[in-house]
Amino acid sequence: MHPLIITEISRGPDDSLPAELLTSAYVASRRGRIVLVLNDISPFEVDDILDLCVRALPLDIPGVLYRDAADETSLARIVPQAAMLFLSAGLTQHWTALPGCSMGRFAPLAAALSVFQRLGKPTSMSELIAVPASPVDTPFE
Amino acid sequence: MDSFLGLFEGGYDPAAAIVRDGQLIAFAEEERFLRNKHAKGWYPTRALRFCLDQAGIGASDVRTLAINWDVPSYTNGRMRGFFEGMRNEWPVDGRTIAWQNRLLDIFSDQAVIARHGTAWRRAFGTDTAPPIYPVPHHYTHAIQAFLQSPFEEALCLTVDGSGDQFCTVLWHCSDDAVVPIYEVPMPHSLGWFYAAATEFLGFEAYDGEYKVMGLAAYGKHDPVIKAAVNRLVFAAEDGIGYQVDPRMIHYGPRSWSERFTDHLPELLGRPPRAENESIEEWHHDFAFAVQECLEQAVLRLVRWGQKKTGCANLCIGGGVGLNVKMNSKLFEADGIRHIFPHPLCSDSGAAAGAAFAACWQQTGARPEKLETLALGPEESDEEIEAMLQRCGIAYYCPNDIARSVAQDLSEGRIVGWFQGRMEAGPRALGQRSILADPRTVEARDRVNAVIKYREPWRPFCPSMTAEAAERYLVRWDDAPFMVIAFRATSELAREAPAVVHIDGTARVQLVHERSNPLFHRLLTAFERLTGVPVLLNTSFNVKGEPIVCSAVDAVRTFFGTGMDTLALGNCLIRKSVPTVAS
Repeated sequence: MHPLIITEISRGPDDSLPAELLTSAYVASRRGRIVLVLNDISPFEVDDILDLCVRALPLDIPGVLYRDAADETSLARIVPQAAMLFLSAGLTQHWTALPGCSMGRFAPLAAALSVFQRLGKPTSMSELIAVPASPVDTPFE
Repeated sequence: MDSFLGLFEGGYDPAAAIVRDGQLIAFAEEERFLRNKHAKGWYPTRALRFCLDQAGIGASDVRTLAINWDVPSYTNGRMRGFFEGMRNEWPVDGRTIAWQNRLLDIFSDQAVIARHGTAWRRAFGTDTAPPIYPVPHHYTHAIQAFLQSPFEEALCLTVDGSGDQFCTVLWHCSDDAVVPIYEVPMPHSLGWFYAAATEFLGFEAYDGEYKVMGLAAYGKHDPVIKAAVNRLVFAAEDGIGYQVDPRMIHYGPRSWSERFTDHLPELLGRPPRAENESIEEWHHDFAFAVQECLEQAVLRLVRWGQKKTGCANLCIGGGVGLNVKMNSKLFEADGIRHIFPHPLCSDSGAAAGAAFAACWQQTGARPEKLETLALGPEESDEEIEAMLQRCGIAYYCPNDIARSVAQDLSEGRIVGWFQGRMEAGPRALGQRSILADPRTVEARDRVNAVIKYREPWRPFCPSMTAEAAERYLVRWDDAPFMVIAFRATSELAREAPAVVHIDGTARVQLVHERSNPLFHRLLTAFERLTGVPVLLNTSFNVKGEPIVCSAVDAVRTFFGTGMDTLALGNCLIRKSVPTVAS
């Protein structure tokens, strides 16, 4: 399945992971595949945050895919298919040089959360049942 | 600024739309350019080119190609599982299984990307199409209907043939939350039910539904027919929704039509009407029962939703929303004070809905409130004059085109009115219209006899100044897009009998000076001459053809029919010899 959105995942100033961004991205992945570009973060660390969320949602959603920020070959193949890319300034500069990557599809990382929240809104009653009102305020338990 | 493209392709009325910052920059149906009514199955290449030109961008500038199908569900096995569930519930026939498999194939991620990629390579020479952005079908209808409505909170009913898993969904909408509160899944489709009745009555489905609706007004309650139709569509066990018996529609041998099985003639106790057979009283009464059945099914749902949410506003999306009689009934439901049937409620309009959804989700820019449907191509007076000179057609440019045309109309001439950007959707709203004096029924009959060649029982509709609504309509709401009928006052029936249907209603367009200034000026000029701010307004086409798109299309239609006057922009063309029927 083609990637709908590609977003970088990097640590905050306090070395923490962006938990709200990750859970919102996972909920939004009901609409299409979301690629998480892990920038110096291990997949296991992300799994820890997403585990409850994954259990709460059906297993047949497009879901998220992890890619290492250093895996240029793999990323170069999927970047042209994505509707939006949320990357930090450094990665943006690098990836906009690729063929087929129009600048308009790149957005600052800070814009990602609100996009995922809009995209993740339920569109059927089965989705209403599957997700708590706010993935952060109401942990997936 | 980012441009979001929406496309509807593969079915009836393929279309393209461009949205930018929540504004619909351009929209057009492929049929208008192709000159092939409904353009069924075509990729909307011409409409797409127009949209890109209108937006002033190239193919590579499109940020996202939004489509109104939940592509992941066709790819990851969810739709396959849903179809398997349907097969367990009802004895599904082989043709239906083949249809289900075809859907799974054509809406899979791989097939969608390949299909659009091929079309874009052919049309623009690009390597690929822009990134595909799928939006669930009924959510697309609901987002468009609610966010473009004048309401801050509303119920929204989306009802069509089918889209992804669902046929009908009721939504509670507030701010930007569009939340489903009741769903009716396939195969329980009111759109399919109405299409079946359309073909049973000898018309073509997805085109002739208007005829069934028009015919229904001539019918009466027949208990035998009603009992049969009630076996076709009946209340669900919860008393809220409805069910359709799919054995009558799809699951079984289909000797007469793809839209109904051989069980339906058995149920109704007579064969379907052939196209060349006359229409009898039974057909009127059957149309009446079908229309009533549709209205009862949606009324039950909306009444429940109104009580549950307390909402007094109702939006309608999905192709069945073009049924103006149904919309009128819903407007009469207890607790409903305002209604907004979206005029682009069918799947072609969902091209715009998908683009709106993509733009809103990706940028936060909410869709603009719907003010006008003049979203298609236009031609300048210079271009029109050059064409007329090239064709050797005599014309002149009056000082005030509205006043000159009003004069012609008041003298009984039938006028082709071609002004500004072409309307989106199936209704002529004062950009590509045929206009006539509504004060006598003879004018209506002449429009039919020399131009439209329609069945005599089908109604013609009025356009009137918005200021005249109180004078001519009973319990009305704003209706700028001709998608709802209201009861006409005796004054309208007396002063403009040509536009009042046999059941005493009128499917009206209320024309606002703000959004449609030239057409409003024409109506006002006509009122000055006659005292009646109303015109008979029908689409600028002949039977079987799409509404005219270009000035050349308009000229061709003008000289191929009995129209008397043609107003092309500021140019006026009059036939010197009166038409035979005049």
